[in-house]
Amino acid sequence: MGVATRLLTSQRPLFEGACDFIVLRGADGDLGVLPSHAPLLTWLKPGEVMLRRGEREEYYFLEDGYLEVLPERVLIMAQRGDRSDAIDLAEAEGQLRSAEEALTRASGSSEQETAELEGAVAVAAARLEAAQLQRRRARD
Amino acid sequence: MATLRDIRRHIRAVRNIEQITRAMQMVAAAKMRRAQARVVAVRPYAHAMDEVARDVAKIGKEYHHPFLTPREEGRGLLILVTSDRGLAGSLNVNTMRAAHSHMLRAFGPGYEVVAIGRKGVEFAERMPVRLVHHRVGLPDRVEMEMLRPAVDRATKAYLDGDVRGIVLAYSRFKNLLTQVPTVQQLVPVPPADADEGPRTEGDYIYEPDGQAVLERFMPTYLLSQVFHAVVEGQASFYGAQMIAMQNASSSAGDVIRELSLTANKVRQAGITRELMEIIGGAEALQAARR
Repeated sequence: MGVATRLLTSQRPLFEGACDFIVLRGADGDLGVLPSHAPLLTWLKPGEVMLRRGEREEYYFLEDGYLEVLPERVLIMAQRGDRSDAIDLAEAEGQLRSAEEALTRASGSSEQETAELEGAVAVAAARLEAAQLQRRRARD
Repeated sequence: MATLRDIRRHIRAVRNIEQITRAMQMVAAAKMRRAQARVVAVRPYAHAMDEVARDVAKIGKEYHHPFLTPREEGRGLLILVTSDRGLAGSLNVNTMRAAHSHMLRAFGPGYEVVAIGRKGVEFAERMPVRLVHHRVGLPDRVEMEMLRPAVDRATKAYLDGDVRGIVLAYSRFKNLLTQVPTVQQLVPVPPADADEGPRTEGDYIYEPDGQAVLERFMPTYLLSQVFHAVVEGQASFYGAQMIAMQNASSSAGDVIRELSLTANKVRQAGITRELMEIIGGAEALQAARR
């Protein structure tokens, strides 16, 4: 018997159903959630979420996410996100490149601006990684 | 009495108006359908963020974020979400009336306003309130980040201690015929009811720790709620505008029917008068011949 799980983004809901096991990139590192987990609240690093239902594993890429775990349910909320297999590899590479270029160009600007651009690079890198992982899984 | 030409000119003018209102009705209907799909997609996220905030207000003990701590002193702050344009019936008036009476009851006069939408700006300039920030001209495909400056302004007012409560007012899209003026208390976060939320007594495990998580989560919570309100407001606006334009088109139709009737009467009266004159003339001639 799995735990009732909902994966929602500010654009649209991505998943709703019972999961047997969930793996996410929490603030303190990767974490796994099984049913009847203790209450937990954390933010998520940009990266993949894995939802396992029986034999099936589904992967999603999330940005600006939060996780609330209660014994009876799991809520994953992210500002942006999509299925990992919906990410275009070439597009993700381009996004990372332009984010890095923007950061190089902005050297010497305010601390807050630099932090924002560094954040964008981190997100783009994580997104590209998710696309590469997805490709490897598809090949296996 | 109006001449036939005047009446016909009037009919033409009303028919032009009808064409415009009918076109606006079609445009509003198309945009409303898109906005409605958006509302349905955004609601689960916004409700989940609200749910988690209220859960934390109920069971969180490790770190008392300022958003969770009620205060005695300070003004109220209203985040007022309205449309930029009118021609939508009483939509904005209803929202502003509900918001204003709530603010007066909860905080008294002279509260602060962050206005999103031009109608709200006009309201704040007219009323004895303080407009501290405004944002107009949002696109139909509004993104969360576009609202961050408004939310940051409200957060700052609260953290600086100027205000003791943040309230959000908007028009909720119930269905295409009904828009519900909605007033939602954002800060201090209202705790989940006894029969809602976590059934556990203990606090959460926070990663990395309570302060870090909540200092990050609470602004996002606020942003998500305002974003949701804007999306609801857009769908409401197009719904209300569609109905307003439908009513305008059907009123125009009524006016045209009435004017046509008058025009026909005037025309008929003219024909009758001419006939009378001809008959009268003919009779006079016959009488003269006898």
